[in-house]
Amino acid sequence: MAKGDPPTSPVVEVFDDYVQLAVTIAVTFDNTTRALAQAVVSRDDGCQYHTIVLDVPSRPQAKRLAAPVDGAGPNTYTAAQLSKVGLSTIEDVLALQITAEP
Amino acid sequence: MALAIDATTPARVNASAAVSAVSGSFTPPAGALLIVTAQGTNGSTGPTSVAVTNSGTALTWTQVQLANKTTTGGGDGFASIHRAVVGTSAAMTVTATQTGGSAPTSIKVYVVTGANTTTPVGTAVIGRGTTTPLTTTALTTTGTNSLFFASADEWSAPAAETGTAGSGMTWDSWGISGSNYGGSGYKTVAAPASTTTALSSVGGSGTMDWQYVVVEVFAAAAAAAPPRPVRTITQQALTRAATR
Repeated sequence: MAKGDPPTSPVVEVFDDYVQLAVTIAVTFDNTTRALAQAVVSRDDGCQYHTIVLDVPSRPQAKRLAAPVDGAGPNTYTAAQLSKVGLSTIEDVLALQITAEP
Repeated sequence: MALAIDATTPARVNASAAVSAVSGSFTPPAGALLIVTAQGTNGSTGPTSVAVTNSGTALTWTQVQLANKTTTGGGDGFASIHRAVVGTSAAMTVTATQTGGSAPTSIKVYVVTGANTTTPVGTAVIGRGTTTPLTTTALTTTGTNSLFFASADEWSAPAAETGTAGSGMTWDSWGISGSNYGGSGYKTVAAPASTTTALSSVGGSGTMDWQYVVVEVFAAAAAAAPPRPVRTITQQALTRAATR
């Protein structure tokens, strides 16, 4: 990959809280068509963040993906579920800022 | 009261396609020091500045340092650190916006308690480098139990990088393959000392292109010990004691 090339699958974002417990989102997609395959949200037990937010959190159209509760496995969001909230390609995801919230 | 990162500290914000980033809502305690670290890409010359604002009652924001193409003499990323003191505890969001820069933008807000709110920061150092690991220019702290903060961007990032910072730093990183890698972090420096950190990139290739800012945050002065009771001894009392 060269500088400026489009990102390749997966795109992973990690958000640490104040004691370095993290919530993570891993978005997989087709490197050719750019179509999303799925998004997997995982969370360290005890992490104070429980939600991934796509877009500015105060905007009504911000999209929220719940992270798993303590002791549970990762939450997987299918391409169909992501499409319902307007996310069809990786560019749709990267057009939005990403953060996490309690 | 020792310096500490407060539990109200919001999560990092990564804006891959924007010149501004907005934090989630958080409620810092009164008297807290907010340290905002920002990283991203320069425009053709800048960014000329990074403006930080907040929702609600406006705080007084100060840009501590900005490392970019202009201030360090080259490079294509930028890194900055900004500060403000919280007056009254209230819910707020924080926004950092580049002027003259380009996407991406990433910010991390740290809510710091136990800081000296009159003179929050000491010396700051900026720099640029092309190696990994890159050892930052030494910053000589002058306070006791200070926090050493760093904000760094690695622009060349042709691959999906991850990274670390050495020397005991608690590091919070971000990265976008094909774009930028960066991060920010902190460590405690117990006594005045010359301090550095080693910024490492894992997974990148080719020539690195770092921009960084490091700064000392002072702890609040320890409360003065209560005055010792004073007894007045009169000449009469001394004479009485001597004749017993």
